Amino acid sequence: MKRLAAAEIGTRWTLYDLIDQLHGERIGATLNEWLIKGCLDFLDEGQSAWRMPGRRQGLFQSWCQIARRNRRWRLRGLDLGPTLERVEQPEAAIDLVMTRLAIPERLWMDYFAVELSKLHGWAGFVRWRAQARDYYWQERNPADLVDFIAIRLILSLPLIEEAERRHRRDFLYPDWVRCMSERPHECLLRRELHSGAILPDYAHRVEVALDGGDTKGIETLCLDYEREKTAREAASRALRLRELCELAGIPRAELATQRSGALRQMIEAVHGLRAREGFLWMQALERTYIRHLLDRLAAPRETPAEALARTGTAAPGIAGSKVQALFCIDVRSERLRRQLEGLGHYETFGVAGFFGVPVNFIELGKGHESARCPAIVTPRNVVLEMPHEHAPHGPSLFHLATEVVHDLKCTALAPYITVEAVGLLFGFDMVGKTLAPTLYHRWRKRLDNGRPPTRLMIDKLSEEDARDLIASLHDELVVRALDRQLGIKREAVTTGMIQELREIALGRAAAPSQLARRFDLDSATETVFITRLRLEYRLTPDQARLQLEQLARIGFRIERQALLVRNTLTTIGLAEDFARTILVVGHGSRSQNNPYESALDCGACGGDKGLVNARLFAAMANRREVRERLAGQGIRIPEDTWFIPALHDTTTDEIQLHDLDQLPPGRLTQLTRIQEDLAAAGRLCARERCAALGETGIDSPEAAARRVKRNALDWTQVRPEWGLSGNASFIIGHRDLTRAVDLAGRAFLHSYDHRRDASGASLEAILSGPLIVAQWINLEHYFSVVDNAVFGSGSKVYHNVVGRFGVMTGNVSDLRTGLPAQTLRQGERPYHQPMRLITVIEAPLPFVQGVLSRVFKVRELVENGWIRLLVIDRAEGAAHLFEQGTWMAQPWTPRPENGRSAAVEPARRARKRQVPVETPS
Amino acid sequence: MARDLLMASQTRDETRTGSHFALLAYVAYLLPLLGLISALSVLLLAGRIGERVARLSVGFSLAIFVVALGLFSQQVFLGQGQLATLGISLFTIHFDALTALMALAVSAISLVVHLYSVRYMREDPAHTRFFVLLDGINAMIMLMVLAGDLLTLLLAWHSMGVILYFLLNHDTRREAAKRYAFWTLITHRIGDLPLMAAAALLYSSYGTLSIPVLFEAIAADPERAGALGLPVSETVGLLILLAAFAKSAQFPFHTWLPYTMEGPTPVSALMHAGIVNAGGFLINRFAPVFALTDSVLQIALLVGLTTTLMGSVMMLMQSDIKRSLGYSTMGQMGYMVMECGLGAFSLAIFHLIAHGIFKATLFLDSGSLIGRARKDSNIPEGEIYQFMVERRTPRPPLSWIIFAGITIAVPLAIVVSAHQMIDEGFLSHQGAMILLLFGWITGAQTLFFVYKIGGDRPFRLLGYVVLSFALVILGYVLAGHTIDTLLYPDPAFREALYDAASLPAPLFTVLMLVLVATIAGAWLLVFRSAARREPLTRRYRNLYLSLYAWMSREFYVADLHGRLASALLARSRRLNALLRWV
Repeated sequence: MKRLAAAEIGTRWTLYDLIDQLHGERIGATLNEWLIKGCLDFLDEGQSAWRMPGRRQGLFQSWCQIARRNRRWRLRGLDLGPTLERVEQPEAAIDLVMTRLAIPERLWMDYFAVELSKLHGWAGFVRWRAQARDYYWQERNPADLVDFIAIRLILSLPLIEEAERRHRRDFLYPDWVRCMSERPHECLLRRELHSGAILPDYAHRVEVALDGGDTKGIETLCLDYEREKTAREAASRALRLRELCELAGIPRAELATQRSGALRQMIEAVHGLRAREGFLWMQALERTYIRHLLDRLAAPRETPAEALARTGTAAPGIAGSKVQALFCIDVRSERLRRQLEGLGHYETFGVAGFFGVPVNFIELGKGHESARCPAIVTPRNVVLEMPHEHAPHGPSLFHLATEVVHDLKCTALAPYITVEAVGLLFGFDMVGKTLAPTLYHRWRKRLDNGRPPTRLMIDKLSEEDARDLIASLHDELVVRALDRQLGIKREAVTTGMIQELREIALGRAAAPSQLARRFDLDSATETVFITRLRLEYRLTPDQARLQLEQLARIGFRIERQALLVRNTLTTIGLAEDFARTILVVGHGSRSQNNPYESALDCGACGGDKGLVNARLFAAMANRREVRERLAGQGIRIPEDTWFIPALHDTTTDEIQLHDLDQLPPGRLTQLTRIQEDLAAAGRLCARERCAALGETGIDSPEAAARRVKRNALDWTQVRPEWGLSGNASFIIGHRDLTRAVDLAGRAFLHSYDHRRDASGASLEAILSGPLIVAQWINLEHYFSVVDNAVFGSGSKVYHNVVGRFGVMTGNVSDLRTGLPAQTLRQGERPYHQPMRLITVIEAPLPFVQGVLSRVFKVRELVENGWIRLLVIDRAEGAAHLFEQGTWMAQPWTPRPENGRSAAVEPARRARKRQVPVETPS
Repeated sequence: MARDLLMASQTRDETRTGSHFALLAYVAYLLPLLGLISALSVLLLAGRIGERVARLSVGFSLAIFVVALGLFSQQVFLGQGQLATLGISLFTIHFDALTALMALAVSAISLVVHLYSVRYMREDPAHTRFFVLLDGINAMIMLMVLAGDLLTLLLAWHSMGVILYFLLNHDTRREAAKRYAFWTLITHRIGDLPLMAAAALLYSSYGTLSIPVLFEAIAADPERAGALGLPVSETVGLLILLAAFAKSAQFPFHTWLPYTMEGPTPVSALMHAGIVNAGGFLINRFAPVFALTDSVLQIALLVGLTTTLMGSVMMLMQSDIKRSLGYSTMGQMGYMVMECGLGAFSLAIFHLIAHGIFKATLFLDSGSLIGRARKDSNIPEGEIYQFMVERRTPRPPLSWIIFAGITIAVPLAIVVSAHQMIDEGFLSHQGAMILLLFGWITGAQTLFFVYKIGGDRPFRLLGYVVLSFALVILGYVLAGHTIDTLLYPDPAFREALYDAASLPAPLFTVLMLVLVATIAGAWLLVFRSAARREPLTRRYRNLYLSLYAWMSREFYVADLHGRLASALLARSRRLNALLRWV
């Protein structure tokens, strides 16, 4: 039995942890609850109508302001007032509390770490915010971990003091150290009693002894108790061995013949293994997967060209109608790519879903910038979405009504009559969404106006163009102001008059204006009008300058566009042999009532849908100027090649082509066929998906397509799709390596051709970008599935959306991190098998080693065992796995194309010979 | 003497059941029975058919809904209450319009919740238990609604609380779930006590447990004094109110309700649509008693009004969706009780049904909040967007005084005239006045919304809004009036209820004047500060901060309760130690 060690105070347990454990208090829980309350109030992003005041001063200051007025603590006889009066800054507060608790300074950092780990979700969110650039809420309401710890410590102080009063003991650091060294037996018994682990027959005796406080008696009782407990533990360990033997089929008699020393060793070994068991199983899983993967990759299969030759349809015209498609590396693309290629004449590539175009996007209807790129990239360019026409797209009446009802709900006295008057109308939603989600959704959609068609502002404006643009916007304002303020219509004034008024407002010309003369305005009226223009319509020199600055941020220069397009194309090895149609397929998902919906979108696009980046990339690659520059660098994109952006809906496997209005008319004829192909491939994927989801009653691809569509629209659906669950490998290589291999939607596929990458720069980029992101995703799934209650977010049925940004479980809880149980588990068993990301690079080993030595971050991940790295060299016919510091050659021989007999491998093979090759430098 | 009475009431009971024998009430036995059978078959078949039990359970709820619908339509034709007994004084059923309406509403919500749970609760570790309890609690709600005698009522009343406890504690591994489910359990137990006392008092005074018989007896002899010389109807009224307060989360018994979010979402939906409003039903069930009181309903008014205000204020301050919905329910329940306290009993039933559907939908859809936040993230628009895309021009000058005038006057006119059109007598009641105030405020709030969003043509928008507001109010008043005549067809009885709720005339006049002046003044203040872009919170900063601190801690009610509980526990532990009880 383990005794409490004084060294654990402050490094493993906080002071109040000890009070809770040894005196049966619940200070930790109370503290969590109070701190969460503070976080909720402060971090709220618009859920509450009545917000916490003074948040702009930062977490600590605004919390103090409220805390000083909070009587809650007084109710418990606690007083925070004096403490709060003495500190201005969070650092001072931390210092004050830690000194008051008499914790030696060398332990402080450890103590803070323990404190932070108590609510790792909230602490993690605060920490993320603190370093997030351009996060609006952080800029507006700043918070950081120092504030967080300071509040936690300040709150803990009176609670500890209260416990001191109640138990008539001192609970400061030195007191605990003394207590553990002087009265170890009492400490042990107390912990046993209050943790509930005490042997039931001892409980009463222990309680009485502890109440009595007789040191001698406690010691005797403790020794007695320890002996008993050890004996019982030993018995249960022995039982475990016996059970194992029974499972393994070893007769009990054989066990009994062992010497007791050997038995003891076995018992201890079995017990000791429990801590390492999980790791063993994980390695076994990985090894099985790797073996299986290598077999699949080695197995011969038909290339599309061969398939065409075999079926005899290889007509010469087919080659010209080839379609290429760029997909995200996402595991869900794998299915679609395979099915699409299976239809013939499609060639697909995998690349990070932002297509190498990081951007700050300003969406129509939102109006603020959001970064559409992987979290490791900081976008420098801004792109603005513009509607085709500037007709005021007013909200529909239905929308307005919803807004009014929402507004009424958020008041103190109006919700009641509102509910009586319109409450029954909510019955439509309730019944419709439950009974016929697809139908109801279609009907509801008709009530909304929908989005107008848009274009993206991609190109950088020259300064002259920018000035022109601003001037014409200003003129528009002047025209409206004339109409509204003076009642003068456009037809009564000339362009010259308008421009003059604008110049006067901007201080570049002087009154009186032509207009004033023409309409006989006195100078007072004119002055009022000009002032109005300046104040209300914001037509001022300062404003104009600001607008010019802002405009300068929009768009990409042509050179940069060419660079981005070139990088993407060379990385995936698409530098020649372009098809006439190249689809750029981003992905996104659709689900209802799902707080985790963004986990299903594209991680490479900032957790949003990938369409914007696809549109950007296609638009850039379609530009004549860009192509000219690319041709200068050896990438010749034929004139009749068109890039078409598309969105792959990963819930329903439907693909929607976009920006078709920009295609030359002649190309439109081809589209129908492509769209039909895409739909067919999507239906085949849907069938696979339904099987994986365990949907029953699906007999045809059409039925599957209908079912997945329902999943996307059903508000009762807690698992609209599996998302990235099941992800296991990341394959960097030519599509030839994986073509026609059914990877079951478990592999990230990044196209790469090492023969085109002599310097290794492309591989370096892939390793330091997409691989890192994929590894995050892999670990997110890994940890969420191994301990769903702590690192994952538990069951969705208890989820409670908080502050419009996160999820709690139930009434009050830590902010949930990771993924919910429904995403990772199927019934009792995990659907996602916990494995480290198995990364396969198709390239010569020395080349990979060379690149790896240059990418520090990835090398660390590989060497410290967070990533399993497997290097395949098809030319050499060799595979090497990095294991425990060395490269182990794996038996792997890609069969010749016609060696069909070897395709059916027995699943279990004899133990493989593994040869260490060389250690990486 | 007492024996004679007992005998008399018994004979009356017999003649009553004899003469009012009707099939309808016996069919109503199906409502709770089907629920129990469903629970039982789910339990028995779960091992064999696995998660398909959910569909079985849905089938039964559909059957219950169909039966309830049939019974309701029959009842509308028949229009008279009926009694069915099994020959024992337990499990009698009293079927009238109130019962039929409640059974229909509850079964409809329960059907939707069942359908919703089929997929939502898929692969839950305690899937079977969930459906058994769900069916069980439905059966108990039905039994409560149908109960024709006080014992059955008590039984159902009590079991609802117990089953609810298990449903809220669905995740048995979570410490918090146990803790908060216990809050619910203990409050509901407290709510059982007054009902039990009321039953005992009624039985000792009138010698029968049959509810309709009791009502007749009380109506025939209202002045009788019960045990300890207490006036029966006043005391029973008070006890019923107390029981309703605990079940319907009225101040100060409200803390349990916002903290019921440890249960799965469908449970919350069912609870907020079918369990918390049991208080409103109970008060309506005892309407004949309340009609004879003259100083009890005022308590309901006071408590209801307090709860209303507290609930909505705290709802506005919550940062998580479920608890904010919980507080919103608390406010709505307060309003429901307040309506009872004003004598508008049938309106309370209408309110609880409309609110049930409204709140169940919001709960079931609570996960979509993140989706909405992603679409509209509350982040102000950037500079570029404002001048490039939006190109908004300042709104035309608008006098806030004129607008405020319209805001204050028009809704009042609409609300008054709508009531005048539908039900002429309505406005002569004091209670109606208070309800009108709420209607007025709601209308004004709607118009204030128009003022805030402005737009290019505010007066046209205003026209639309006023028109639709008028239509909605008209429809609402009509619906309220329909339910009123359905539940309480006797105008004299309705009058009696309003009279029972009335306050002394001078007091009421003063109260109304003060209220009207305050509300109108508050609107003017709000408009002025909106027009000058100077929020009131900045002007009265210190007061505001204190107010916030006070309210954000939920008025310290939960803290006081906690304090009380820990003091009790500490005392009892000391007592234990002292007396050496193990």
